[in-house]
Amino acid sequence: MSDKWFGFVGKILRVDLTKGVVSKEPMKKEFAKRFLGGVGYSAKILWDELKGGIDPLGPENKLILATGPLTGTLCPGSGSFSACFKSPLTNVWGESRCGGDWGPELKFAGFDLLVLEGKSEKPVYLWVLDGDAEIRSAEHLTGKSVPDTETILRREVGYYESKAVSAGPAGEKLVRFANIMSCYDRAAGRCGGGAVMGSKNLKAVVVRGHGEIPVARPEAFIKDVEDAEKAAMEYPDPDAPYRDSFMDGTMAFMETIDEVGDLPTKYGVTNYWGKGMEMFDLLRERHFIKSSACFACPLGCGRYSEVKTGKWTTPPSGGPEYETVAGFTAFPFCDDIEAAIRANYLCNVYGMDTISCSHVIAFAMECYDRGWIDDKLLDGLKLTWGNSDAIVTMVERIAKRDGFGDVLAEGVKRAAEVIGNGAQELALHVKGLEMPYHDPRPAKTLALQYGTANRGMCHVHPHETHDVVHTPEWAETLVPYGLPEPPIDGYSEEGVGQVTMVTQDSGMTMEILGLCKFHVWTGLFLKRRASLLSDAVGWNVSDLDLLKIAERVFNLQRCFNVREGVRRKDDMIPKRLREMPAFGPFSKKEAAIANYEGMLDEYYEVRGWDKKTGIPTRKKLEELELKEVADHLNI
Amino acid sequence: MKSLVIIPDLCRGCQICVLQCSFQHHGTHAPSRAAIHVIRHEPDGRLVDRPVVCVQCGICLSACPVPGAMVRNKVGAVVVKEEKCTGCGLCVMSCPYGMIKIDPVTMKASKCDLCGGEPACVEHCPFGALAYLEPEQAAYLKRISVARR
Repeated sequence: MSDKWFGFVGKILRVDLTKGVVSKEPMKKEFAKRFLGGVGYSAKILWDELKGGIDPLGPENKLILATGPLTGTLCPGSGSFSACFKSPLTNVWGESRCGGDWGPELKFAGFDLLVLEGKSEKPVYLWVLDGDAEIRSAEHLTGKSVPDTETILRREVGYYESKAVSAGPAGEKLVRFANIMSCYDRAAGRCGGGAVMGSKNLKAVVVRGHGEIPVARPEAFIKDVEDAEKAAMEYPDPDAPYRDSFMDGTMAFMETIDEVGDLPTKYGVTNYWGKGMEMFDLLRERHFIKSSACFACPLGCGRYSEVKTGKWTTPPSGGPEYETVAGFTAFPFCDDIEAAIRANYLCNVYGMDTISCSHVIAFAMECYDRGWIDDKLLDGLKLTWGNSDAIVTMVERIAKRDGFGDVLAEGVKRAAEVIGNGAQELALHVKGLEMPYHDPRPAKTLALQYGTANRGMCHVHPHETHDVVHTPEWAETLVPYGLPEPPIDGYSEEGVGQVTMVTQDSGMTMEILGLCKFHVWTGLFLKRRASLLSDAVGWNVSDLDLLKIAERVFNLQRCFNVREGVRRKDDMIPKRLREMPAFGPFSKKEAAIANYEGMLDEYYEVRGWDKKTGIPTRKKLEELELKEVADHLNI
Repeated sequence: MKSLVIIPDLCRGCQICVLQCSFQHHGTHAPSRAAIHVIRHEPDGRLVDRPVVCVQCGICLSACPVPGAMVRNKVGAVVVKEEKCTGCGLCVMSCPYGMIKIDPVTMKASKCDLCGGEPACVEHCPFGALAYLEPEQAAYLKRISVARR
């Protein structure tokens, strides 16, 4: 086997922060073939190198920033990296993807993966330049906001075009849903990677690379790229491509999401708000400045906005995207888009996940409404539904762990334990990860995805959402891989196990290739992904092979969770989401989930997992060439 | 003779132009070897997403001390003759736009050659932010760029 790498650049940078030692090691071809890159290769490292039951905020946790074999290439949507770690929010598998330019830059600097381990005694940052790295003091950066940190570091390292990832003040304060921020306002959100950085006293990783990402078969690869580019611009109809919607950003979908009962409203008591379109129009007409793309993306869905005057004056900054707006408007029942833009900005400068942050605030509002939190605890803040002053104030308190913010900074699961009464039953989370802003009731595959995603309650990792907001043309492309034809009804509880598995594994392929998931909707179908991968790396991977690798990675991550104690009970979704929406046009019987346990049985069956425990069977693991994992778990 | 021009405000910063430039010229993904650049953030962090590319003014041509190492070709591009270029870097120093550099692999001067009259960056820009236009149309866009400075 040749030592030369294509697609991958072939090296891992490992940094022991305890000893202050930087080392380089080769990527292993055997692992790359079995797991590809991104969350796949990282799952193998974390499975091998972490012990079950460790403290996610202790020095024994490791944080991997990983690219994939297509990251940084001309493949559409290649501007990704994934952060993988044991999550301090959930105590299970943690991963979060981030767009922007940092992932490609890491590869141009000569590394596919960066493994960060141990804990530095004093605040430090890592400076990576063309195949080498050094640990530098970050004492002058303590408490600095995300944009200030990045601006200072670009100048300090002497390369204005370097790219940084950093933990903001929230990460330093170990807010359990702190983000790893990148390129000023891009985020590896969810699961608390920023807190892991904070726990290691690692403020930032700045990278500059002048190298290359060669591909094995350049002529074939550029043809694949042209085919994929054409698909991105034209699919499914050149006169009305899906790209048009993405060009307006995720907020362009808010109206549809609202109208089909996909918008969790008033802490998820229902799934219709009626003001989705108004929010989009206000953002577009009054606050939008420009669109911005991640590296090599022809969609360019990113927003850049501001609030010019008034109480919520906010300087030009990234976002807000759909999830953020939904979280700071419909969820806490507040129609103040300017406050949502301000809250988004604050989350970005402090470095916090906008989904979890908005979620815990709306949760606190419902607890307040029910009298479970009193005014004294809140230092006089009136956490009434829709109170935008309270929302923005609470964002800052959470970031600073000030007063009751300290409780909410622990995430909804731990906060509910502190609040008591019925709060634990009310809290909408799976495995400790707060619910994002798509409602599973009219789309029951999403309910199963929420229950079984390895990182907890998540709509995108690794699911290719097969729900009401997406179109039949797109779903048809997965029919050859096991999606039923005709598609099942959104309300159906039959057949959802199969659909969930296929969409999860297909979605996983994007994570292990190092691509943005939005491109699955704009023509980057499995066959195209497989072809681009094969011509990039130089070994042949078919669409079915790619799905198999994805299934292997999904199962390995599941086994990581099994080692942490995850069982069937942890795949349950919250009671409120199994019940009929309380009011609104979708408040009908079929919107309730009658037999979630039955759906789970079917899912375990198709996954080849034990129905009683939810643990993958030895047969399945051996079929996936994961015998060593089965042995380790004594299955 | 056509000019490669930038249409303001349409760029979203994806850098597909940069990758295409390096791939078409060197068969690999290497932004450091590309002749077109995208400024994403100002030094203070403000997001701007502005592509910048050589205007073929010829200042480098006048600065080059080696006879025949730089020539203006039939599509109007000032191009480097690698076999004659010594890599001295005087052209790099003379360029007020930062549009010519010493290639990290060949160690020779490297700049935009307009792809011989079919610029790949223009063909592949998904946002229509680049154009290759006849003089009158190009002039308007050039004036806009100057007016905005």
